[in-house]
Amino acid sequence: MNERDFLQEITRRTLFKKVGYGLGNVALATMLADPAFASLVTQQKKRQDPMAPKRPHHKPKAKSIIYLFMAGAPSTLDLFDFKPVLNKFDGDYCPEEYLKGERFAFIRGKPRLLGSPHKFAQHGKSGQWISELLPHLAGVADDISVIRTMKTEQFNHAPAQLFANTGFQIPGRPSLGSWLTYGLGTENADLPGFVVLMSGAGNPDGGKSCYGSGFVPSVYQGVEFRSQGEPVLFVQNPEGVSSQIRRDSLDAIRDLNSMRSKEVLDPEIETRIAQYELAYRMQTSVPELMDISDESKATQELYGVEPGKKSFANNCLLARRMVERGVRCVQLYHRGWDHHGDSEGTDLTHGLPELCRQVDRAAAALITDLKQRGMLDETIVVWGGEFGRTPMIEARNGVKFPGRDHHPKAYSMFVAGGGFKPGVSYGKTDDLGYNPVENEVSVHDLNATLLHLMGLEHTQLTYKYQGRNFRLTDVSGDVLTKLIA
Amino acid sequence: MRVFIWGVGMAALSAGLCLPLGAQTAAQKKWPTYTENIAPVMKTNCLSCHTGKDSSAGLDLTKPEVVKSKVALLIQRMRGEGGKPMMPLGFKAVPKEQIAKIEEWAKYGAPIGGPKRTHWAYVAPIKPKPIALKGWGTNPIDGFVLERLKKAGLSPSKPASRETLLRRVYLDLIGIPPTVEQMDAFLSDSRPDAYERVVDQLLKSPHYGERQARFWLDLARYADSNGYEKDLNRVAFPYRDWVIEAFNKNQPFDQFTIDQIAGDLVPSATLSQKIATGFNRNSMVNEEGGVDPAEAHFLTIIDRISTTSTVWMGTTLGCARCHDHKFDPISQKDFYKTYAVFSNVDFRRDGDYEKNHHEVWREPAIKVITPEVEKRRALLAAKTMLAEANLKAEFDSHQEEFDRWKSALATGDKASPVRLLNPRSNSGAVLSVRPDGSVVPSGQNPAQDTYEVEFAITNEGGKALKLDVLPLDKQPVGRSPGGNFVLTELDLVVNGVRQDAEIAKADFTQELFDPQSLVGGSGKPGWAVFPQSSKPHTLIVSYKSPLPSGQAKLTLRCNSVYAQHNLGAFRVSLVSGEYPFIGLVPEATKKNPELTMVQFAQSSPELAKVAKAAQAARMAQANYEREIPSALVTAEKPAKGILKAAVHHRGEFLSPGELVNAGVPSIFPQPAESMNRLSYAKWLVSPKNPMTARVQVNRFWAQYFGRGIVETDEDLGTQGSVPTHPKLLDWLATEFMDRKWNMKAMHRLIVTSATYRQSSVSSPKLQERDPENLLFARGPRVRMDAEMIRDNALAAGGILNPKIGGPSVMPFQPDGVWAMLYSSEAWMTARDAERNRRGIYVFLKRTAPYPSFMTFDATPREVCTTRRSRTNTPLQALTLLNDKAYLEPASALGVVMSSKGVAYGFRSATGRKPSAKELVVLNRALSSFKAKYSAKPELAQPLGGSATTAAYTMLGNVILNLDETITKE
Repeated sequence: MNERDFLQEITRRTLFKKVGYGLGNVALATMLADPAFASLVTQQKKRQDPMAPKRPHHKPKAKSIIYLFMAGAPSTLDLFDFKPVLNKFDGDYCPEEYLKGERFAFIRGKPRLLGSPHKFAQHGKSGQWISELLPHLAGVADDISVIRTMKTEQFNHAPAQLFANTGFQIPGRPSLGSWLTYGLGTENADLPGFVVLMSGAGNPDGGKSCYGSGFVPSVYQGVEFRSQGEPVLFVQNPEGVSSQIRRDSLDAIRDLNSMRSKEVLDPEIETRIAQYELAYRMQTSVPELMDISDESKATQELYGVEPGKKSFANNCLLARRMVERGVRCVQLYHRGWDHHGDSEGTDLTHGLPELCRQVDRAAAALITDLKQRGMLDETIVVWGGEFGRTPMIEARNGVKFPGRDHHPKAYSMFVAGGGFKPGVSYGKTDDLGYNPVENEVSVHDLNATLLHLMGLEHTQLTYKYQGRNFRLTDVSGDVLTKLIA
Repeated sequence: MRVFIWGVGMAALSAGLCLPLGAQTAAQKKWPTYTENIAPVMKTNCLSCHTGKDSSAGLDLTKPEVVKSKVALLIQRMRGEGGKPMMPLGFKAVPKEQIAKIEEWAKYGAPIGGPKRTHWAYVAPIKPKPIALKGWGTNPIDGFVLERLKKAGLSPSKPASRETLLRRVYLDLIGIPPTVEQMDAFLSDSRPDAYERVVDQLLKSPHYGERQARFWLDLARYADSNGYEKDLNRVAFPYRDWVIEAFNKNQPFDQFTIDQIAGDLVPSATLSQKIATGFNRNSMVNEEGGVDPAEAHFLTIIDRISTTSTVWMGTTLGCARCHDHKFDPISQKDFYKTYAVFSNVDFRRDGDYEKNHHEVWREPAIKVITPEVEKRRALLAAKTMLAEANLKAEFDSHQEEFDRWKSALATGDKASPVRLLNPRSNSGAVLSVRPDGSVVPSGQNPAQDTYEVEFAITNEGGKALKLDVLPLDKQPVGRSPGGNFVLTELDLVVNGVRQDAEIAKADFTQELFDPQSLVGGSGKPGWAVFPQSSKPHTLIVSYKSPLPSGQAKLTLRCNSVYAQHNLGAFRVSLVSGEYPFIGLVPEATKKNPELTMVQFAQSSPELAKVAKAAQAARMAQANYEREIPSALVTAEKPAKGILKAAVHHRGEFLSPGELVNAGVPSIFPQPAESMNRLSYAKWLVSPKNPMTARVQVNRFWAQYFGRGIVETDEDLGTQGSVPTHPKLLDWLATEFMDRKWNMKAMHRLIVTSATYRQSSVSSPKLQERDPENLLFARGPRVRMDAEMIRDNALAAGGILNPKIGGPSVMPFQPDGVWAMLYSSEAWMTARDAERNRRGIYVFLKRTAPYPSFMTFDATPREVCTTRRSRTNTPLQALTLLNDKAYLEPASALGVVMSSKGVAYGFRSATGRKPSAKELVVLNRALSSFKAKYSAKPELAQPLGGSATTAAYTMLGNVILNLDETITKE
């Protein structure tokens, strides 16, 4: 039996088989009166939807993931990977041996090296090197582990974001969150298992496919929670529909559906009855979740939230509230890190510090807050973009603003909590920060590790499509055992 | 004799269903052989790494003798024994029973046995003999279905009720439910062939093409934007309309295929055939800065190969991009042979990757000049000609005057400056007169100011007054901080008598500040000249009667809402002569005879009228030209000999290797000629091709039954699922070819079968024995697809707009869905009936598709999709309950019910009369809504006003949310 059959069995037919004529809603008085159904009521209390929690492959260390995706690709040579030698040779031509056979998105001709205009210092007991642009994250240096040797296969934004999120550069594959909910389900039936939150300058370049479900059923796609308007599309009753009227209409829908179910014996109807009840509960649980005003002043202050705005800080706090309520995967996107230096606003001395200001405090607050609440152990926090940036100045069309081109060969990300070792600086790049020289980490390695900590073996979490067993990690990926606590 | 391998999946299927199958029973009580039992296990579990000369550990397990010699080791490693990691490394363990089988095989001497077999799908189908129908069935389909049912000990269900059947066949063939009137007509039609008559009528409906296109457009990955980061909108709908039209005119599938893949290469290709090649152009285009255009092009071609092989061959050719196919007999060379076929498409380079980091290889677009367009064009051209002729005639009749005008133009206007006396401001500015007669304000610049000057008129007969505003001393012409002014009143009094102005014209006018507003009326908004405030300007005002001689007083008022917009330096002249405005004709115009004519036309009302008409006709013509849509098409570069492509090592763009000639995978019958797209397309639909017909009929079947005879309709290869009715599949495939690829005939065959006409009501026995309805012991009961749910709701409310084709439409969608896109394109919600067009026309932006469709499992069409998932989620419930796009049809359905009754509305949505019990529930809901809205009338406001209207809207909402409403029963 392939995965599709398996899944359909879970979602529909098994339910019917096990439950006979089926009964999606326990409160169905008319059906309860019928003794044929009475004995099945207890079985109904167990969730049978495709999002019901499933048994992992092994004992998980983490229950949830919060992925802070920095779309546009942060210049991590100016944030986490301290390169004094690069600083020393600032302005010199990049040595030829690096450039042979290289293809750049924007650099043309012979590029010059660009040292970081920002100061670095060691922080915490771990002594991790962190730039002055991230003072708050420096404060949690002992809780985060920086991977300095990330490597990807793509050097344009859209394909690289798809690659990071779905393991493949072309749209159509399931994203990390889809794989997680497909493999593990989610604990809170009243909320989606995979939530997406946006801030910064627009959606990710890779579009909705970055959090799409690809070829696994669309029930596993990321659900976008919005900062403005309805938090989830269509969660609010339209104007003119009070909650009393909504309840009346739901009762009528349920009664009519139940009558039909008895008539045609399709278990799909019972599932639908249950989904309508869940929808009704979501109408309460979602607004309650999104209302951050019930957080203490201290917490709001810690994150620097701006209620009512589209802000990374709000989203970080919401992410914590979501994992607190059992959401499996919260994917944040904050776009705007594409610091080519083709103008002043997009350079390393103006654009980059601004983006750091938007992100630093809230990202650090999230870690502090999770830790204070004892949730960090069970929650993975990941921070990073789709690729790195060149050790050379881009100097597009001869401009002089300090900026860097796309660089897939080495970049930094950080991970925290959820079973990762804290305070580790993992991997080493060469003196220019051009190539990894020790402990290179591929995107697949990282994704394999994330799945592993969530209790899933990346090689076994497969879905058969077009005759092939697909995985998030395609055909490679090693769990980073050295980074696991 | 041909022998088929039905694959290992069969064991699971038959175990689940307790179905006796020929292949299984025949193998009973025989020793396992390599071919029969072991090869499939190897294939599933081992060959992805252990294949060919690059095999892991040098162990090529495609060779039976290798398996035989290493069998003990293989078993050990599969069990994870011997202290080494379990094989297959990184994949699911080999099932215990399969390992046991290998052990058993080894124990009995590991016989290789059996002939080498070709997977069934790679062998051309031979038409099975139909089974004689006894007692049940209308056509050969039923014979094959019944045979399987009998083997499983099941029997067919009773026919569906006429109500249910009618709705089912309407939805299946045209995607729109029958109206209540159509239901009644059918229910009262007692002719024996009443159903067949409906079927034939539906097959002739223009909506048939729309319904069929819904499936095809998923395969063709049709969308209205380019995809990836920028995802700019594209005009692609001519292709979509071509598809609809092709289905409607029942183009045979072979031609349908050739036109789409290579219509441009067909000798003397028609416009329609060129538009059809838009199929290839539906690939995404990555326009992100810094993308290597050659690599983007490489990926585009690969997308075309993958799509074409999935759509026509049900084969995952894309797997062979990087290496030989692990499971199916397709090599990497085969992949690049196909690449070569598609590689020679024409494009132009837009941008320069090396210099500007941005370059896109753009394939051509052509204007869609249909006969209708030609007709309309001719009409508009004729109208223009007529208008031009009128204009010329009018000119001819004014020839003498025109000559006079031209000589006046040559001499210039007869303007004589007047000497201004007693200039004064009423708000404190200082006005001084220069020796040249001009007046210059200075000093205070109040919010509003009024200047007065006096002068003497000595020359009688002048008709007009000229005001020159002057940028003196490098000052702008106005006194506002921006250098502008707004003159709101110009009042001339001679000898105490106010002069009636007639026309005011200026050489330059700021948008919306027409000087004619100074004549009569309120003087608002007045005359202003931004952004040309540093240049001199001229205003001429003509009067109804010639100005008398005497003492004149001129008042210039700047009294606008814009503070300090007071006039700067100015001079006043009196203008005489027949053409007072001639001084305003720009110098450049004087040299251009045509423009001169235009200017002259302004001088006479009759002339102005015909000139305007001529201009309007020309504009209409130009606008129409712009509106003619473009179609994205495929074109071929001139071929230089045989088409070739490099085999790319590991499929990487940067690693091209040896060259191969264009061709088809070697497993298939090889065409004689050297290949290009046209011969490739012809090869796809050659009767010798074993795949194409099977793949298509399998999809037809899935359209009706919710799943194909082979469920994995995208893959009929060795890894695909096993056909539930192999004989039926082959019969349908051969029948399709025998009927000359006639699609309507195949659809008719299926919907007139007894199998299709069965009731979809299940039974405890069927739920136990065949819950998935794999054997078709009952009719299909399937949730509608996203577009149909919406179409059905609109149709139930009686507001579905049946218009076919044209640009994609934007119905209501919540604010903000397009807010965060890279491009700044806006969702412009369609008005009125346009928003009620069918779902197939809803604008599809790939990075932000229509949200409610996505919730109901539609696809963003970034890549080819052969089948959608069918989920059942709370977000779907929220969408149907609360989305305004579904509230509008609910309200329309409410209006219908308020006049025709609740039962009528229920029928409109579900296709059947409600039972007495159901009516009780519906009426109870209606009264409870009424009571609540009556108690709180303000609540009813947004839902149509009265409590009754609101209550009916909510009842419509209830009906549109029923499982039955969104299900094809």
